[in-house]
Amino acid sequence: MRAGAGTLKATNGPDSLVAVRGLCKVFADRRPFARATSEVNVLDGVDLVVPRGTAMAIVGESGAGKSTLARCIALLEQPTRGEIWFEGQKVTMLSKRELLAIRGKVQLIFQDPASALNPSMTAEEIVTEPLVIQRIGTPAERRACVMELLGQVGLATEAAGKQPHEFSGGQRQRLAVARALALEPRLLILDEACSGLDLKTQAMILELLANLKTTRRMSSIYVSHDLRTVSELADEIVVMHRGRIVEQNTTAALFKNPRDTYTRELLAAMPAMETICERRLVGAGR
Amino acid sequence: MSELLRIKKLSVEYLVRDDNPAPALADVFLTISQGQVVGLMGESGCGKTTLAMAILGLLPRERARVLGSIRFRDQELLSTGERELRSIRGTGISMIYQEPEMALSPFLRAGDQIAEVVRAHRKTKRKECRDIAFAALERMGFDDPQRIYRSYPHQLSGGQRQRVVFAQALVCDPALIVADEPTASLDARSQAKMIDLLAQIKEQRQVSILLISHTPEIQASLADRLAVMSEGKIIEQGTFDEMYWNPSQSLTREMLRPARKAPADETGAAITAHEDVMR
Amino acid sequence: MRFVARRLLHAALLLLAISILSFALIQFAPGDFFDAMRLNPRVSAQTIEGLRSSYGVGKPLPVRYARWLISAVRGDLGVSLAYNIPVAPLLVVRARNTLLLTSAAALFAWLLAFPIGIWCAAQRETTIDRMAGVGISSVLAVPDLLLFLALLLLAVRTEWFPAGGIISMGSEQLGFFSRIKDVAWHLVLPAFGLSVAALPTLVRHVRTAMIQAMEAPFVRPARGHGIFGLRLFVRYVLPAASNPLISLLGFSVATMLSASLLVEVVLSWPGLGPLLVEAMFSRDIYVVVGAILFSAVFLVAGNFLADVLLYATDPRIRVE
Repeated sequence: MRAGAGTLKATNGPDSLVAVRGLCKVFADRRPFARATSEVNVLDGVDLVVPRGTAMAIVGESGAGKSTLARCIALLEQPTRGEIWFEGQKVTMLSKRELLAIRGKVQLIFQDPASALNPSMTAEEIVTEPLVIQRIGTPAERRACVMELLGQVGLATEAAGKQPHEFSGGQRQRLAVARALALEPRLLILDEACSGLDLKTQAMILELLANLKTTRRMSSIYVSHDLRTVSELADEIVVMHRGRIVEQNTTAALFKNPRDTYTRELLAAMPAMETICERRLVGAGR
Repeated sequence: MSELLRIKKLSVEYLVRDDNPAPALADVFLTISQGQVVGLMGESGCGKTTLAMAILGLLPRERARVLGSIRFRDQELLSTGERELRSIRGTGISMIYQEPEMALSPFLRAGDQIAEVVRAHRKTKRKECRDIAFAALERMGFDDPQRIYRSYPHQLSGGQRQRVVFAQALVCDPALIVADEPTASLDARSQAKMIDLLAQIKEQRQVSILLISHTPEIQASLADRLAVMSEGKIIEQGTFDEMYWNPSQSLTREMLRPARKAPADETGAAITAHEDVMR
Repeated sequence: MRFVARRLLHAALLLLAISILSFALIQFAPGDFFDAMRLNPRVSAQTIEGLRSSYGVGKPLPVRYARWLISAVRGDLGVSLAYNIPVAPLLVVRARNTLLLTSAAALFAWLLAFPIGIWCAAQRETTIDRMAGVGISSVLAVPDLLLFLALLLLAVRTEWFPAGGIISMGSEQLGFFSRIKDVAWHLVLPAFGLSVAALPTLVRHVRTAMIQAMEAPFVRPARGHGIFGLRLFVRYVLPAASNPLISLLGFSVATMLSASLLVEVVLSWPGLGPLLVEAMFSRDIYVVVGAILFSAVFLVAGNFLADVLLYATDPRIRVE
C-alpha cells in the first residue's frame, strides 16, 4: 500500500467477495520491424478488496487501466503478475473447466449494448442463452424466469419477441442487464455501461441496480470516467491513474477529504450543477 | 445580434423498404444568432444527430426525405447543390463528431488530417497547409504540439483525440460549429478543458455553437439558449436560465436536474463545496 | 526482423511438409516409371531390374525421401527419369515461364478488377450494378476449360495469335526487342484466358471491400469537412479497403497458380503445368516433386509479399 492511497477497509476475510493483490498487466507492443519491444504497464501493482453487497466505483481517465482491471476481475483476462481470490478461493491459476463453474457468478456488461447482443436473436432468446449453456432448469422454468427478468428491468413482455435493433439504446442496455442477471451473479461489473446513454435512461439503470443491491445482496463495480454519475450510487470509490490506485475511500469521505492530487483535480473540475447555474445569474448581473 | 442559422418547419423522413417512412424529425423550428451557443438535449434516438446531419447536408439523399427550410446566412441550404455545400462545410459550418476514435482515420497522422481540411478549402501548397494545421493544434493547448502532429490517432489518449477533432473543425474559421456530444467519453479534467476551449472560441472569435450534449453541467457552463427534443420534435426551447429555473415540461426538468443526490457525509448534510478542495 | 524470420521459418516448414506429402502420394499411385518399359518386349526383365536398382527406385520410401532431401538441400533435385537430365535446371526454365504467365495475368486481372469493382461499388444497388453482377456471374459460370478451348479455337481459326508455345520458330536469329515482341505475342492468349478466369472473384471482392470502406466511420466526417472526390477516395477510402484487398492479393496468387496449370496445357505454354502432367502420367517422381515444390515456393512468396505489404500499409501495426 502506498502512502495516501486510502485505507483498504477489509482484508481478504470471509466477508470479501473479490480480493486482488499485486495485480500487474503488461501489454507488450509487438511491432514486427522494431528492434525492441516496448512494454506498456497497463496495471502496475493493484491491491483491491470488494466486500459483499457493496457498490464500488472505479474511476479514472481513459488509459488508466480501469477496464483492464475489470476484465481481470471478471476472469476474462489473465494478469501478468499478481493474484485474484473469489469468495476466498484463488482463481488466478485455475483450469478452464474449473473457471466455468465460477464464471456464472461474475458478469460483465459492456459499454456498447448493440455489439454485445446477437442481432439475429430475439430478446427472449438472448436472456435464455446463459441458462441453456449452464443447463439450468426446464424450458418452462426458463421461460418463466426470463419473463420475470424482463419485467424486472422494465421491459414489457411483448418485447420478448423483438430483436435488438428494434429497441432503443437504453432498452438494449437493460436487455444486457437482464441477461447478466439470468445466472444470479454475486458480482456485476459495468464497464462504462451508461456512458452513451442519456441521463434519464442512466438514472433508470442505476435505480434498478440499487434495487438489486438491496434485494439480492449483489455487489457491483462501476467502471466510469464520470465521477458524477457513479458517486450517487457507489458506497466506495476507487480512483485510478496510470495503472495504479491512487485513492480509495467511501464516497462521502472521498468528496470531503480527497488526499491525492489527481483526485483533487478531478473534484475541482466538477462543480455542482446548482453552483454553475447560480454563477450564471451572478455573471449576468442579476 | 444577427441571425446566422434559421431552421423552419424541418422534417426528415427515412424511406424504409416497405414504403413506410420512419419520421426522424418533425416540424423543427430553431434559430441561432451570431456568437450564440444553443444547446440541444434529448433522449438517445430523439433525432439530435439527424438534425446535425441535416444542417450539414450529410443525410443520404436516396434514403432520407428532407422538407422545410434551413437558412444559413440568407442562403437556403436545402436547395443548394452539393458543390456549394462542400465549400460551406468546414468554412461556414463545421462539425465535431461524437466518438473521436471513429471520426479520425487510423491511416493518417493526426496533424495531416487537420491539414487535409485546409487543403480541401484552400489551394495552397502542402507546406502552408501544414503550417496552418500546426497553428490550429497549438491553439488547442497541447504541451507538445509537434508530437501530437506526428502521432497516429491510436497513439493518442481520448482527450487528445477530441482536441484534434476540435482543431479540425476550427481550422478554417467557421461561423457555426455543430458539436455532437463533444465531451461524451472524457473524464472530468478533460471535460473542463473542453468547456474552457469552447468558451474561449465563443468569446474571442464570436463563433456560434450548436451544442448537442446530454450532460447538464456542460449546457449550464456554455449555453445561452436551450432546446429539448423528444421523438423528433422540440418540446421546449428558451433561454437556459428560463429552462432551468422555470421548466414547463417534465422531460426538461429530468434532463437538467437529474435526481442526482450530492454525496452526503455522516450527518447527512450534502457536500457541495468542491472549490474548497483546490488548495 | 523477428517477423520476417518467423515467416521464413514457416515457409521452410511448409515446403518440407509439401515435399513429404507429394513424395508419399506419388508412391501410392500404382506402378512406377519403369512399368511402361515392361510393355516393350525388347527390353528384358533383368535390364528393368538393373535400371530400377541403379535409380534406387526399389528402396523403401523413407530412405528414398531422406536421400532426396539431403541432395535437395544442396540444390540437386534429382534426375528426370524420362529426359535423363537433372531436374533442377529443367524446372527453372519452366518455372520462369509460369512466373511470366502468372505475373502478366495477375497484373492484367487486377488492372481490370480494380476499376470495375470500384465502379460497381459506386453504383451499388442500381440497375447498372445488378446487370454488371449478372455479367460477372455468367463469366464465373463458364468452366475454365471451355474458356481456354475457345481461345485456342480463336487462335487456330483466325491466326491473329499463335496457337501455342512461347517463341516462334527461328526467333533466335531476331534482335533483342523483336524477341521480346515475339514472346509477348505468344503471351497474349494464355494471359488473357487466365485473367478472365480469375476476374469474377476479384471484381466481387473489390466491390465488397470498396463498399465497406466507403462506409467506414471516418469517411462521413471527412466529407463533413468538405473533403471530396479523388482526394477523399485516395486518402480515406482506399486505405480502409487496403486490408482486405491485400489479403485477397495473396489468396489470388494461389488460385492463379492452380488455373495456370490448365491454361498451360490447353494453350501449350511451356510452363510447369504440362511438365507436371506429363511427369505424373509417367511416374517421373523427382520431376513431380520438384514441380510441386516450385509452385509452392511461388505461393509462399506471394503470401509473404502480401503480409509485408499489409504490415507496411497499416500504421496501427508498424513503427515510425
